[in-house]
Amino acid sequence: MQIATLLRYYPPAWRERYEDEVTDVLEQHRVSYATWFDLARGAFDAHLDPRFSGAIGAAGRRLRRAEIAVFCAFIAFVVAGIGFQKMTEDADKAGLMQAHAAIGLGYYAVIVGAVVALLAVVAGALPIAAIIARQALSGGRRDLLALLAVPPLLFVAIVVWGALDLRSSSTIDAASVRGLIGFFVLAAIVSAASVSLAVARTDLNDVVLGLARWPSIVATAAMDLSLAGVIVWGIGLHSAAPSSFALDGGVLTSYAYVTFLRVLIVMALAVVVALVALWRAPSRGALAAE
Amino acid sequence: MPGSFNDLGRFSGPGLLILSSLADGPKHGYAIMMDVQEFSGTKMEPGTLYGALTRLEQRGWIEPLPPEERRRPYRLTGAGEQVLRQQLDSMNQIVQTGRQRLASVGA
Repeated sequence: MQIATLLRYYPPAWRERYEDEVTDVLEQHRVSYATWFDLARGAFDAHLDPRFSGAIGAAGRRLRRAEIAVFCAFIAFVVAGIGFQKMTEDADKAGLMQAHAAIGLGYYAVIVGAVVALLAVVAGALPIAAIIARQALSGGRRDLLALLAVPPLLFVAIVVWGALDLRSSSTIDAASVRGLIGFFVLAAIVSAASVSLAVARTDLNDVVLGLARWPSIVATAAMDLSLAGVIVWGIGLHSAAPSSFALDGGVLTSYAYVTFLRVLIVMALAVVVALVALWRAPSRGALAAE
Repeated sequence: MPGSFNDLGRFSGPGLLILSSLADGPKHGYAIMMDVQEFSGTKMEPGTLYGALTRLEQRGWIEPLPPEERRRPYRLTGAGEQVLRQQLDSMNQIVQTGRQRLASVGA
């Protein structure tokens, strides 16, 4: 890779204005590792600069919608995954996982998929999050600041709710837990919506959105793996110990199969949403042609 | 005058070197890099150079001249000259204070 190819990662508006000049400088400059690092850092800085972020075209907007959809699908997947994790916590199921290969394999596939999906979402979201934060703080965008404040405020509210419940009684009754879970699910939906709105309202460009394409694909593939793991785990458990599904092993002492089916349906819907979003996302060629 | 020198953040050092380099006449990017290395010993990389140039241009402290093939010279504006003088006066004050205090320690 030639050093000048790094200039492709600068925003289009920046390249329009400075690419020829910098290419000329690079042709005369003695290139070192420091030059590579410096140009990469310069590209990141340029993307954070609202003057160069520019407006995106129709293909860019479609890609942004696809990436927002994958993000929302991931949040739904995480919420369902917490339900799955609660199901697997009791000692009987832990023992079955060790005794039956299919159950253990399914469980570890869920864990691996979840970790990979999380890392991919973080990798894809970091540059976009940095740009949103920069525009919110240096650009005085109060709308973005308000939207970004929603997830941490809701998180604090959940913690305070749980702490107050524990303070009033050493054991939390089922009604309180039901309320807390309902609030948690609502908080996840509202947080995902507020972050999505912040992304939609931020001046991003095709390059930054393009950087999140591969992480979105990896996250979706990892969610597929987790979903397959949940199915294998469920089939394995049903074969090895059918009574496990009839007991009150689900969330809030519901029948385990009810919780399992809810988890499965939410995860499957999340995967379908992510796959359809990626299917409808514009190709790299369509993005470059804008 | 839009912005202050401190607003340049990590580009305030390179910005001062570029303004100093342009104080004796217009220069293009590579000539600025060479000049800065010669008078200050600082090896400026292209990413930092253009990060600083865009910010100085945005504040109206330098302005681009018509390009000569792919090279585009930049020159110091009146506002840029004023900012450079203020920064150098401030640094001079620091240098004088430092020297006086060192002298009193040595005495």
